[in-house]
Amino acid sequence: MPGPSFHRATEIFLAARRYRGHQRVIYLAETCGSDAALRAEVESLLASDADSGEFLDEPALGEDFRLSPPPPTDGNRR
Amino acid sequence: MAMTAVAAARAGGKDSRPGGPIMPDPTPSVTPPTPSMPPGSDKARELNEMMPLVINELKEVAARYLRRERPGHTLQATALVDMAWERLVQQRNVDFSDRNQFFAVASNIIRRILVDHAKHKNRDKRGGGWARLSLSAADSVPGEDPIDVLALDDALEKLRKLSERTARVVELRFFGGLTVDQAAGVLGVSARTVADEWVTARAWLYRELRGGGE
Repeated sequence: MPGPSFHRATEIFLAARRYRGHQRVIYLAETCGSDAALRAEVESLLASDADSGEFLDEPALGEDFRLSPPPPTDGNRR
Repeated sequence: MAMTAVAAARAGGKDSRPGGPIMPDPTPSVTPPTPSMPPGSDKARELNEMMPLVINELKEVAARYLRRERPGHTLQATALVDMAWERLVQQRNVDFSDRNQFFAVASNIIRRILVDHAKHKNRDKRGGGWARLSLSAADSVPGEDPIDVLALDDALEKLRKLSERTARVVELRFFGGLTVDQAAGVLGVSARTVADEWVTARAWLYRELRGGGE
């Protein structure tokens, strides 16, 4: 059973999260219309967004880790 | 520090392989490097072949450090990955003149290293010296909920099927440590696009990891 389109739901989610309270309610009503599944999906993402705290904010290998590409090999390094 | 063949066999699990100490899984546990290089190209094949070597290299470097360090010293592997990568690149004479390719592939390799590490840790809770090696900032802080790397990996694969670019942003930023601007450069999109993808990905993955998806 196909659910709401990921791209449609996330597009609305990204816009809706910039609204608060009443404005958000209106925005969701306007964009989701009678599509209850779409609205539920968007609201679920909004709730997760609100709860997510610092989830993934720190990179897996820590804040100090930064990939740096090696210089082109010329056979003489080190 | 290396697990013996007996211990590896006893630890069991669906991923255990016969004979010898832990061998890196030669089949990729996650998707191969993202399509910034033509699939099936020599470079793509070579980089896929490098994966087991990176793990081996990492273990050798870790073993040398552990022999020198005090017992019980937890070692952050951030420098190890860089060192392993440099040695590997030197040995194989791989030319990463394309920086974007480098970042994309390296981020993917880091992801695979962490996933393989988590799988091995699950197989052998008492895992000798290897278990003392912390590969994640999160799992070395007592009292904090560590990221379940395996669950994240599965969730990320699910996300990738919905939106490849969103998953790539996560790989670059979370596993590769790239900033929004750096990731934008690698992907050839605006910083705003990356920021939006990141917000989306966090919300979607957080929900998925909490079991609230669909």
